Amino acid sequence: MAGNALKRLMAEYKQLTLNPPEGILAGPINEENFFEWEALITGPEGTCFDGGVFTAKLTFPPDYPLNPPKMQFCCEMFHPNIYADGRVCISILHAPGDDPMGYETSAERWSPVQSVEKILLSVVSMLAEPNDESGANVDAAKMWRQDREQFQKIAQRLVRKSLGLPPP
Amino acid sequence: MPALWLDRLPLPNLPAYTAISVTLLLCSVYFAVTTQDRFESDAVSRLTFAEALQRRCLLPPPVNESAHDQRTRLTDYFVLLATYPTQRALLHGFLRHKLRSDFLYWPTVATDWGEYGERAPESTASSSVFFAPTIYYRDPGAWTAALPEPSIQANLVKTLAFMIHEPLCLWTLINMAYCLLVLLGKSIQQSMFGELRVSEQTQLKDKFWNFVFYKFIFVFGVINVQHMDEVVLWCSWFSALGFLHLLTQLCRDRFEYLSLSASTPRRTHGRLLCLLSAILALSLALLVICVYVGLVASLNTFAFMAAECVLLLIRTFHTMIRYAIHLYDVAQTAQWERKGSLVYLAELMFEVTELVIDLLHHVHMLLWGNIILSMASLIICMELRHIFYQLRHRLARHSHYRRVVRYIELECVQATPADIDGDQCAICWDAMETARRLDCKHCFHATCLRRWLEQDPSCPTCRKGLDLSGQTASGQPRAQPHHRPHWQQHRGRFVSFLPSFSVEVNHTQLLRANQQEVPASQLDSMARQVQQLFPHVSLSAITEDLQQSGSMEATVENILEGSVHDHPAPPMFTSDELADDGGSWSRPDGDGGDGREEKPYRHHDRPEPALEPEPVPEPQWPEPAAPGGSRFSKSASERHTLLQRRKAAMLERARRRYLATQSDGGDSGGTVSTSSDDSGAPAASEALRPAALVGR
Repeated sequence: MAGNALKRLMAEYKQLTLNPPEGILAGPINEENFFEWEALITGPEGTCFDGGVFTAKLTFPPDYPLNPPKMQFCCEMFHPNIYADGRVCISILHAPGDDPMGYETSAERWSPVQSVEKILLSVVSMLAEPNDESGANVDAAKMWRQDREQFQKIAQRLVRKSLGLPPP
Repeated sequence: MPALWLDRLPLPNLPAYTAISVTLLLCSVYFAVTTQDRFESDAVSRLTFAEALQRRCLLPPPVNESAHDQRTRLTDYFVLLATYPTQRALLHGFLRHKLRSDFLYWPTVATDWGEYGERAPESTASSSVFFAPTIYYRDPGAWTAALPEPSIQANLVKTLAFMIHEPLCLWTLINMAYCLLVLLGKSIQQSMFGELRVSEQTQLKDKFWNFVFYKFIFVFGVINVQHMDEVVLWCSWFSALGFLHLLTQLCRDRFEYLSLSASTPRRTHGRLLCLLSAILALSLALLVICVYVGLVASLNTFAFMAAECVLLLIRTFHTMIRYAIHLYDVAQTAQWERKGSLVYLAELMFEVTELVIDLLHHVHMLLWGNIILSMASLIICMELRHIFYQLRHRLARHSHYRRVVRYIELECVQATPADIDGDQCAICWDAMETARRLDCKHCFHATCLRRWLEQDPSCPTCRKGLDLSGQTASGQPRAQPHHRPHWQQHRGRFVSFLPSFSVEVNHTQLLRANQQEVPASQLDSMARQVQQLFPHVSLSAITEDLQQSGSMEATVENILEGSVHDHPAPPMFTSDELADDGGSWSRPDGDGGDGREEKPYRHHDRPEPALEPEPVPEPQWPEPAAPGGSRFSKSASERHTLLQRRKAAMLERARRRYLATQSDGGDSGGTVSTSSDDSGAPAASEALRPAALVGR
């Protein structure tokens, strides 16, 4: 029932508006449709994504707290756990039933006690510490492991781009 | 697949189609009016062979001849004719057309023969609209004599009768009827739904072509009709049905879309419900037609028609019930304890009934089809298989549901008030009055728990696996036994289920501390600027509000809203919704900025980011901070603008900070980020930890 999901999303929106976590902002793109949100994530300080503000889109299923939303970055990203099209690959976003990567236990996956806030914080932590074992973007994972300098250069470019600044 | 192919067919737009239809209709009416007089006067010369035959056969019999005798005489006559090979084909066509056509012509012709002698001329005329040609051919003289005087009405009837008989005119009439139907549909769409969304359009198109495809198979593959009259009748039946089906589909799509929004006006819901009830009434009317046809024609036809009709009825009713429940649910603030099971049972009932009727309908089609081994039966078999799997899946889900319900009833004890302790249900975030407690002491609403356990048998909070099969004594954990937090995968330390300790105090203090940092002179200049915009508001009130809001924009907003009064300037954030979430948090956005400044930033003694070449005397820190961002307004549009503003502010702040870092460190800006993989990440995690713990 979309009614339950709507109530819960409203509660989360309220919570996120009143107590926004550091460097994170999220809300419905359009009040007409409460099941599509956009989120702004500030790159964690002291990491290669430091300072960037990255936009992402969250799409919630109609039975929301029972199933995880989908998350996709709208800006260009280069990260081992983000697909080339911007989809985010972290275990918290995987429904309990399916196991696309074949290594997660169900304890790592979605549960209705998770929330948008926790997802976004996980994503922040993912930006800070990529998991190069689950390579959603194999090139990025390889570069992260072997050529950290180059990776940081790309990340810096993305940070500037996300802020709307011209490349240095 | 047919949908894909047909999708690309170019269709004329509606005005053009309407214009063409109307022109065609006018032409055919003109044709009918001009032709029928000539036809009457010179009937014989215009008759084709078959028509001549027909005319001959249907000439009024001698009054004393019985119907049986007459039929025998006619049959003899046909047999005689049929011996000539050249005439056989024509005769065959005629016989098929006139005598074997089951429910439109044949009975009427037969009874007319029987009663011809006794029938009064008036009754012949009045009952002859559809069957006029028969009578007409039988005796042109009687036909004209039957009409007392050639009134407009009579002329109209005559013209219509002629048009129905004449194939060309009949097609234009049918075309016009479709045109009217399309126009009706379009006007309903315009008035009820407005512009259709893209997904609705595709859904509608798919549904339409599927419907056409399957009904084509039905009419020509299953019923195997051969006469034009039957085809026309079936087509008109399916047109009406399809029209209502499409409207229902549209209503359902729109309802699903509206249910995604929290701020739909009541009027929209009302209109949609009205439309749904109209569809319901119309489908009931169709059901009555089914019964009538069933009485007149065969039981088989009735079963076919009624099945479709009942399906439509169920779908419409289902949508209405779902709608009503949704509206009730949204209006209701408290959790409605029994709702879950009620809704579930209603859904189950509707879905299973629909599937069963569909299944029976298809089995009936398969068995009744004239040829078992045909393309049509193959398609029906595929469809049947699909429906059967759906039904099986649904029933399997139901048995799973019952298992879960039993588990909750038997194994999860009712939580005591001490267990609940004013907590919220972690699944729906609503307060709990009654709850069920799992073995691991976590409590949830029974309904919420049921919905989750149907999907995954584990405790949502600690992920302890549950054994739903009933033997809980051996309830060995299925998944990870205990407390293996999901975030371990990323080795992140931010998201955790650790009990949250209060970080609010810190933030509040920071906030307060920072607020006092706004220099009085700056406050004054800001207040003066605001007052230039609103001369009617006193300076003191503005200053007071500025102290509260910390930003000019927020104050301007407040004044526009009328919440700034001259004397007792009320605190801005005092609504109850803030109270329950901790009023001290009322300006976390500004505080977000502060928090940042509090962190490594400060340690490096970087200059304030606002020290940029900005000619305008702008307030230093509060400006990029989101004004009034932390309010959670009840009005959707206001919420939206606030969010947009906060977004812009966040970007702006990040940009300034970034530029400041770059200009400050010069080279160090690069090195900070490049050298920080080992040291930076923990720093980031430290920075984020308090925020992570704010949530539940």
